[in-house]
Amino acid sequence: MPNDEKVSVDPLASERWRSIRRLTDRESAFAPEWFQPGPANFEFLQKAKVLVIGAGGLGCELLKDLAMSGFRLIDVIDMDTIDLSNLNRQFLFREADVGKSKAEVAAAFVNRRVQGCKVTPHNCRIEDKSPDFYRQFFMVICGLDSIPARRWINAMLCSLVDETADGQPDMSTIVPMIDGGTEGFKGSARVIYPKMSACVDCTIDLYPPQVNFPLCTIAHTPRLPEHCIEYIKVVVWPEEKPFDGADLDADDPTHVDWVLQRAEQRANQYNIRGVDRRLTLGVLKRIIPAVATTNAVIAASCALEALKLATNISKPLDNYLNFTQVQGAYTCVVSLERDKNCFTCSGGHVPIEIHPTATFESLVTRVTEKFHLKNPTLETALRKLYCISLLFPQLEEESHRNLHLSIKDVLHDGDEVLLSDVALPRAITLRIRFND
Amino acid sequence: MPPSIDSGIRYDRQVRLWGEEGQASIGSASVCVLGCDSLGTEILKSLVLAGVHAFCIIDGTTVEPSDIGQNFFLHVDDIGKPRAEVVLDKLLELNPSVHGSISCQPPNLLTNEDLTTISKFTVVVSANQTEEVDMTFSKALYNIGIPLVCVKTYGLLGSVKICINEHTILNTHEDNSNPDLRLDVPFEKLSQLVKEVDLNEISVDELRHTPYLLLYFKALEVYRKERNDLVAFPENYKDRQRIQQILKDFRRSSEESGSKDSENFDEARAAVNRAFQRTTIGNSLKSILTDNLCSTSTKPFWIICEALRQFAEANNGLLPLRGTLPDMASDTNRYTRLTTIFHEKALVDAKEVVQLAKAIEKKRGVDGIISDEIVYRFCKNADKILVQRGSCLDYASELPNVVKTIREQFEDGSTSGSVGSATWVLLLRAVERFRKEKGRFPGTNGVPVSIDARDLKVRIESLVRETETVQQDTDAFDQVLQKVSDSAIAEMCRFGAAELHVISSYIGGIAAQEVIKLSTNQYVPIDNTFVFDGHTQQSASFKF
Repeated sequence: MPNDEKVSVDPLASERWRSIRRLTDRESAFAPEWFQPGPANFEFLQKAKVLVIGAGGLGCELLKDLAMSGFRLIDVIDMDTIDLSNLNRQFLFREADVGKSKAEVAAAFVNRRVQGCKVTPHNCRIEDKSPDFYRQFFMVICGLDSIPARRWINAMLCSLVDETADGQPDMSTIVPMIDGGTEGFKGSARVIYPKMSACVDCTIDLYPPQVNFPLCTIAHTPRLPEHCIEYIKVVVWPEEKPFDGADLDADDPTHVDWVLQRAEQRANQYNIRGVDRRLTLGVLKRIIPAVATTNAVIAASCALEALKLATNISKPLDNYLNFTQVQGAYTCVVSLERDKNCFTCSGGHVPIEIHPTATFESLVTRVTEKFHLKNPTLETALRKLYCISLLFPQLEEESHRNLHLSIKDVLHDGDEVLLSDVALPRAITLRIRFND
Repeated sequence: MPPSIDSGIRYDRQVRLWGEEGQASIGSASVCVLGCDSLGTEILKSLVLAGVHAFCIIDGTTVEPSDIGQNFFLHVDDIGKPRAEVVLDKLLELNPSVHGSISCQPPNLLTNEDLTTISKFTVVVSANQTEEVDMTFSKALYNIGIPLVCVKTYGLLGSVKICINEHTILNTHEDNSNPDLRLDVPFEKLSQLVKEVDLNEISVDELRHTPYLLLYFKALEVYRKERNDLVAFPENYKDRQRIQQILKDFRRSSEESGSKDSENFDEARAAVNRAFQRTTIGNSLKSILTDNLCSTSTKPFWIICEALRQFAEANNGLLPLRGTLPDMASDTNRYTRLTTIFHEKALVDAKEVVQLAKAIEKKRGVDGIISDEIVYRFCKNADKILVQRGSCLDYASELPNVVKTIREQFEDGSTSGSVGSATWVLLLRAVERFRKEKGRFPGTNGVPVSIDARDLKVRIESLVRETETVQQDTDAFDQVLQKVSDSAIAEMCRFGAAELHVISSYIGGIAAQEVIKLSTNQYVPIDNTFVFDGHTQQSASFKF
């Protein structure tokens, strides 16, 4: 193989990788039982194909860390372009790169800097790639800032796992997933063996629900500056259709100025302090604060696990790490358990206990929050119960009517309800249990 | 100079955390880093990205092939060049507004004269230096009040130690403090607003949109009437249960739903225990305000503390109002009125503190060092100020503490499964002694790991013997050694001075964040030793 040749002709190979080789070639009581010290470990590492999802704050760090750990075949997916506000942490980008593809610029940089490393960029959405694309990798390492994207790749990797004749997961089809996430000075890292250990959807409760302002508050009783901005975004903009009816683009400064000015007016009218440009941008783009340091820590934590999975130099993380550096520096490792009813990795039904006289609306609200949904559709095998879609305008009226009915007037004890949403990679089956 | 629009956008994601004032502090900080191996470089990378004013690298080595496999900022073509020079150029590419300089003098050869020049730095970082270098710098820096951050990586291990005489924190960003609501001591405008509200007069809809702070005052009125005591205040759980009941009785059902529940009452119920606390000065703050430095220091922090103390003395023991309210379900009018009167009162209080501070400045001969803004922020975050005190680095004198911690650790050293963090600290110290005595690290030079392991064990034993606490107690000696398993010793030899990039990156990220804490006076730095074990990704902090 051409890669083998490269390793053997690299005159610096032995000195350059001396540190890693100390760990791959020497025995240790801290490695898994199946670890066999020797040069084969490092050779395997250099030939292992890995995929990095996201070339942002975590992604840039991950590419650097993996390349500097000896990985040579790295693919990276990101659909984003570089923005000036990325440059406080995404260190593979320069001011001259603003507007270019993150995946392409990051890949080119690492390829230039680290001799022998081949990073292949994919400037596209993760959904654009097929199962066969994902199947080719030894592992997938995620540096994402969105929960839906995490859930999508998690579901994809779960779907790649075949079963053996006795119903056990076929180990050769498992593509492990290492997932990092940060927000400000907090972060987490975890290792997932699809269908073997807790997956993203087994532990979906770990992610905080998205904060949404109720429409009636922002429309009638605003009290926070955020309420004023959100109102301009969701009510005034679609009504007044400024800029010839263009969609609101938070990256267009003239659009932001328009929202800011109108939000300031509204805030003055209600005597609310605190509307400014930073807050306006924060609300419009749902900005998550980010610093270079936390990204460095969490990416290194993920890359360390990638190194362990590829070489077995030490036992892997078991299996979830929480990190915060506000008061001192603090880490906590917990072993998350699989949910045997997980709709993604166990194909199970999700039991929902509900009082028969509760409103149908309370069920819709509950599942929307629980599964982080945007606009859910609920249906039984017989009919659609709730569906708000331009494709089915005829269902809207009935959907709204159903909201006000009691559960018992819409469903029976033991009914199965199919729940679908853009945020879900595939529909979930709910099993309704009445708790009188 | 105000920050340009471009730098405003560049730093936007971090300014949302530490504010413009934090960014300004970073923008005026100068950091000196001893050693630009992978660890030192990763620390610098984060600081350059964050936008420090300037950095200085002190490193006397040339780029070697092994650097290429460890340090991302070095290219194969750089082999043979001065390491500091190459790293400087590559780092400056990251942020055009940062200034950088180098000294190619090895840190261990710096003269006393060189050491005096380090007083211009905000923070000094020692990256993988010897114990002698760490201690020489700590000694020079401790007395002039400059923090030293000692950072080490070895194999899968890493540690960060902060050595500083005194560190004052303007905002810990702790988010678990109780809100400053003044339920027990309402100011005049607040009492007036409460008086205007009559829960029995208003419609059900209005009741359900009454911010819970007003509900609390009304509940307190009922509570006082019941006890026939005009100043009664719930002091314990049982009293607060009574408040809960009174709040419950306030509820009325609307005609449409028939239910009495509403969001504002739900919020009121949930917040009772945190909100019904007397307005007092917390113990931590009290000890700061009674510190001797309040009456003598010319530093802005201590002058403002003295101003706070004088304010409290003149205002029945109350601090200035913080002026921020938690969000509460409400109609627009009453919530904004509440926030406005809280905000205005806070400004009035803060102005008084400004006057006091200015007078103290003058008296101590340091006119004009304190801005109004810093006093306003100080008053707003008065519950979040903190003072940390540490010691000058002395590896010999911290050793008994390390050994004592190992004795108290729970883990059983006979199994390889778990090694306590303090044990790793001892092992790192033993490795350093091995290096000092043999001129190389264990597990290098082709010497079999098993032989070096024996030599390393000898060093561990001598380190433990040297500690006073165990000298008189032979049992203790055995107890400690039992906890240092042979497999952990062998692991240190396996590492053979390996410097893994991922460990440098992890520890470098943590160390850089500590530098940012130290230069912004925000958040709480590690006090004082952090140890990371890459095997399990567990970590621990100790005060050694």
